[in-house]
Amino acid sequence: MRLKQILGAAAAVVLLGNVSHIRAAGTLADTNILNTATVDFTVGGLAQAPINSNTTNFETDRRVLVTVSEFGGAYTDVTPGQTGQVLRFSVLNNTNDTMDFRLDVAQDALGVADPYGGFDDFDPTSSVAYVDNGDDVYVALDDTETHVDELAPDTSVTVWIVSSIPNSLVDQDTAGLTLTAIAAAAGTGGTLGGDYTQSANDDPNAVDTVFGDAAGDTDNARDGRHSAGDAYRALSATITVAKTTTVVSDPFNLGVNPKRIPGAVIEYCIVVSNTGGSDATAVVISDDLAGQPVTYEPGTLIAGGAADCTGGTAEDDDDAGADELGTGANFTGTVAEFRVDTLGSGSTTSFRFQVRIVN
Amino acid sequence: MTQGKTVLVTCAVLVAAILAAAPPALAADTMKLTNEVFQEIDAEGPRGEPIRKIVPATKVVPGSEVIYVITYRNAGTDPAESVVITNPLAAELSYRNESANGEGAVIDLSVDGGRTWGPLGSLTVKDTEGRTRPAQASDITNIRWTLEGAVPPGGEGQVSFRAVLR
Repeated sequence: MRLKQILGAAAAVVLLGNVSHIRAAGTLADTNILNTATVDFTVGGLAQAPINSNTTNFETDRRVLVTVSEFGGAYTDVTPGQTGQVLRFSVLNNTNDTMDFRLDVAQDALGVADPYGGFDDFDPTSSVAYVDNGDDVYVALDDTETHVDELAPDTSVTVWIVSSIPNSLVDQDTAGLTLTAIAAAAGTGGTLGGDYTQSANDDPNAVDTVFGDAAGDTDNARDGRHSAGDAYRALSATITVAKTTTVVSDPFNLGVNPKRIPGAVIEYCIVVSNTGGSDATAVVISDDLAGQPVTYEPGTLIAGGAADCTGGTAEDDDDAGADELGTGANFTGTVAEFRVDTLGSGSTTSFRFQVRIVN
Repeated sequence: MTQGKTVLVTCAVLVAAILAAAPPALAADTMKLTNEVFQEIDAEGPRGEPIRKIVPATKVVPGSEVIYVITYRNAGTDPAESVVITNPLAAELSYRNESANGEGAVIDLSVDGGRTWGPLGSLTVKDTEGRTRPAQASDITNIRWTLEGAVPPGGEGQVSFRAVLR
């Protein structure tokens, strides 16, 4: 009897060593908890054989704990028209059981606040959730599973929302999305189990389910699911064009306080700005003088000037030659055409040419 | 005549040997021990007010508290003395501090599987790096109740404790 006690005690000490690193999930579901008490006593001064009680046994139940969180803490910047643009999330399972999770993607309604200070302006044209294959890098060929499968207790997995961005967006437009993970039964690898429901009654012969999850972005506490939001931000170029005129000379005053009279030479300055978040490429500005009482003064094209209409380089009137690289200009027919290969985000450039007021 | 005496002595020795060899607890009438496990749940009282109810433990998840109740009864014909009840705690259970109860019992705790005993404040454990630190309720491995008096024939009582599922 004493030997049995020592063996029992030794077993308890070893197990305590294993359990001492407490995981958030805790004791696994469907674990049998056994308890037996023992009484030692004497009768008439003689030690009696110890008596054991019955052994009680109950099975532990399943407590669902899941957390969805957004990764990165900032917008995912995209360009209108792009496909395969990803938002990154993490799904953490702290249930005391291996779980499947069904994934739901929802678009924020227009005007709803996104997580980073903006308000929803657009919906991606398609958004689908895919589970990462473990390398935390989105690769379409590798990341194809659409539900979280057999996720062990106290383990997390990366989930991507993959979207196509519409074409016609304004710079700084944002789209908010919410990922929800719904607790489902694990058991068959590769197959999504049914959503768990909370057991109404206690069944001593089965593993009951208790929801312990916290409230997420768009779900309540203890509803067997959790949700978090993230957002795309579209960056595009926004081009503004402004035209000013200056009188250079007139036939009578020449260059001194010239007036805008027939025969006067006027300089036009076209200021082009990119106020968008994205570089603009292949920007072309054209100014058609047809129908205006002016004629172009040949050889007066200047491209790539500063915002104050100074500087820049002279351009010949044709659309060919080395002077067309980077910034270019030509006058063909009645049209003055100006071109800049790349106008960076936040940059400004200007073009000038001269015309004469007809007599 | 000498033979008879020898036989008598031998018989007496034999009888004594048989009596000594017989397991003392052969008799069914002796101490009886039962243990039951309960949990507290929220329920509604007769007027709809929130109350706590004690029910058999069936829905236990990590963090749940269970209550063990051990009932002892002397079903024998002689008083039972030096009665000591011990309960090794399942590894998945964490003892709820100061929850052990038992009228007329001295309560001791152990953190080393029942080799040494004492109040919680006197116990120490070694951590994973081998450093000694004071024991906490979660380190308890065994609970012991030493009854101060004898349990008379037909006498009975209960001891109990609470534990939380890790």
